Formats: sequence, C-alpha cells, structure tokens
Amino acid sequence: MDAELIFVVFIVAVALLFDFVNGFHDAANSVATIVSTRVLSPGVAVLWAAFFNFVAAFGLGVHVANTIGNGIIDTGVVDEKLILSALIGAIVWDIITWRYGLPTSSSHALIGGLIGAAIASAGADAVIRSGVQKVGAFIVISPMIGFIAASFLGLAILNLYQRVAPSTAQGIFRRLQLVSAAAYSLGHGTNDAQKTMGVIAVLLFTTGHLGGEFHVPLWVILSAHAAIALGTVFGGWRIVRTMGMRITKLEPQDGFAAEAASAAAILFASQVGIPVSTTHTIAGGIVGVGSTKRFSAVRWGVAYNIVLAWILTIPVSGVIAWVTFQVAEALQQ
Amino acid sequence: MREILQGIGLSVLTAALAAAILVPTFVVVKVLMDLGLEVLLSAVVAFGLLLAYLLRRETVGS
Repeated sequence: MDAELIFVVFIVAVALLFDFVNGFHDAANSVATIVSTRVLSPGVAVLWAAFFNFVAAFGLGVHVANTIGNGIIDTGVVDEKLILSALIGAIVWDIITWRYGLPTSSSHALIGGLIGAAIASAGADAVIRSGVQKVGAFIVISPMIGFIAASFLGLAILNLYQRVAPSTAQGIFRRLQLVSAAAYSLGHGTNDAQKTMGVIAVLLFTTGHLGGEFHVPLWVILSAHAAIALGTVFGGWRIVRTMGMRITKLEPQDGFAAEAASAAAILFASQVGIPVSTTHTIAGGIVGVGSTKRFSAVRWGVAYNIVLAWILTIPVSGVIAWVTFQVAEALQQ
Repeated sequence: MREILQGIGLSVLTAALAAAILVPTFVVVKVLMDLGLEVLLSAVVAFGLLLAYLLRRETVGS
C-alpha cells in the first residue's frame, strides 16, 4: 500500500470519527424530549435513536451528500490536506460546544471547515457562493419552519385534547413520542450521515479512487450510518439537559409536536438536497411548542446563547480549518 | 375496554391531525422554494415573526 493511499484511508477514518462525534453531539436532539418527558430511560432512548439513525441508510437517497460533495467548494481544489483541515475544524468546534453544553450544528461546523480550508488552499474563489447562500439561508429557515410547524401542531393538539383526561392524554403521547422520536432519528441519520458521506466521496473522487463520475459508494453509505449510530449510543448528556429541560419545560404532547414537526422538516430538506442543521430545527420546534402554552415559558436567555453559538459556528470552525491548513502546509515544506 | 378503544381512536386522530397540518405546510414550503430562495426566506421569517407576535399577545397572563 503506497503512502498516498494510507493517507486517504487515514482521512476516511477521521471523517468517520467526525460522524461519530456528530452522533455523540447530536444524540441529545434525538432523545432529549423522550428522556425529559420520561417516556424512555436514557439508555433505551439512545439505542432507539441509534437504531433509526442506521436504518436511514436504506432508501432515503444521497441528495445531501451530493450537495456537500460538489455544491459548497470547487472540487478542483480538494485534496487530502484540505479535507483533513476541514474535519479538524469541525471536530474541534463540536468538542468545544459539547464541553459547554451548547446544541450547535455539526453540519455547519463541517461546512465552515470546508470553506475555511478551501480559502486557505485556493482563495475565496474556491467557494461556490450559490451553495453557501442556500446553506446560509437555511440557518434561518430551518429553525423557523420547526417553530411554525411545531406551533401549529401544538395548538391543534391543545384543542383536540381539551376534554380528554390528562392521564389518558399522557399515556397516548408517551406512545406517540416513540414514533415521532423514531422519525426524527431517521431524519437525523439521513441528513447528517450524508454530510460525512459527501466529504468521503469528494475525497475519493479527487484522489482518483472513485472512477470518472462522482457518486457515493455503498460502503461509504453504510459506514457513515454505522458511525453516527455508534456516536449516538455514546451520546453526550450535557446537551440533553439544555435541549430537554433548560429551553422550556416539556410534556409528552410537546415532545411529540416538536419532534414530529422537526422530523418532517429534516426529511423534506433531505429530499431536496439541503444540508440543514437538525439541531437548529428541533430547537425551533421546542421553542414553538413552548410558546403555544405561554410565550414567557421559553427561557429566552438560553435561546439567545444557543443562537449566538449558531452564528459563531461557521466562522469559528472555518478559522480553525484555515489555521490547520496553514500549519499542514508549513509542515509539508 | 372502552378506555383502550378511546386511546386507539385518539392516537389515530392525532396522527391524522399531524399529517393534515404537516403535509400542507411542506407543500407550501416547496412552492415557495420553487419561487426562489429569497421568497422562501422572507416569507418564512415574516410569518414566523407574525406567529411569535400573536402567540406572545394571546398567551400573556396564562
């Protein structure tokens, strides 16, 4: 095995490590509402989410992987160093925000890393502006859609269950939340695992290991889903606390409305090939259901800190990737 | 028995309600997206802010 191939294999391993960290970091989103409403114990909840993360590998397409692979930066400038720098930028930002319990987007960290490393490698022209604009617009659109859809659903449920005994309603929503959490994990698996697939596929394509046409091989699809599912199993509990308890107090019907609305938003985005943040979408959904009960029930200070971290994600991971690329260049010379 | 049937009936009704709300919502999102990213962004932000304002007004004191 030559040195170049060993380096490619090493970067694929780092990409799968990013996917693992993504599952670890975002496990909270999938299970926060079912854990905080005590529908499932934390251990069973993460296994439930991990199972559906993996199941998402089958039959939901690779539109997002294609967008990440050739819609954010010019594939002509991609090399092993660039991908490695992008992944390090994303992983470092994910670990920092995990440490502080902030539910930021692993997807945007990866996109920021790709942009920072591409600028370091070939200047701003290497960035595909239309692709970045679409991702940028969806930083606002996806939580807003989560907020709107979850508010509508929350209000409809409030009206439907007005005359139903609270204990009966709780029993029903505890079961329904299993379905909504599964749907959310399916969405999370398909949208987030595809980002790693896109990075691995573009690496293989630009290093000549993928043949003449850009595509995502089956082994890449399966390994990306396995890595995110494993990460979910080892998920981080700091963010569960923020998502499930600190933004607003959740009842099972709130958890159902937030998850069902977010799952629909993420699955929709996956089908149209847009790499949205599953974190942003569920946070919007949680704020939406909280607002339908009492606007002041939402802890806007916590929400403000989360939004601030969202705004910082792309620039900071971009800067880390940029610095990493420069260091790699210096070491190589 | 009556409680079990009520539970099943309400679960089915809730799932149908969720579909009746979410499917049209995303049909509208797709139509707006086809009209352009700027259209979708401005429509979603404007509607989201309006909804937030209405929720704030309606839930004061509750």
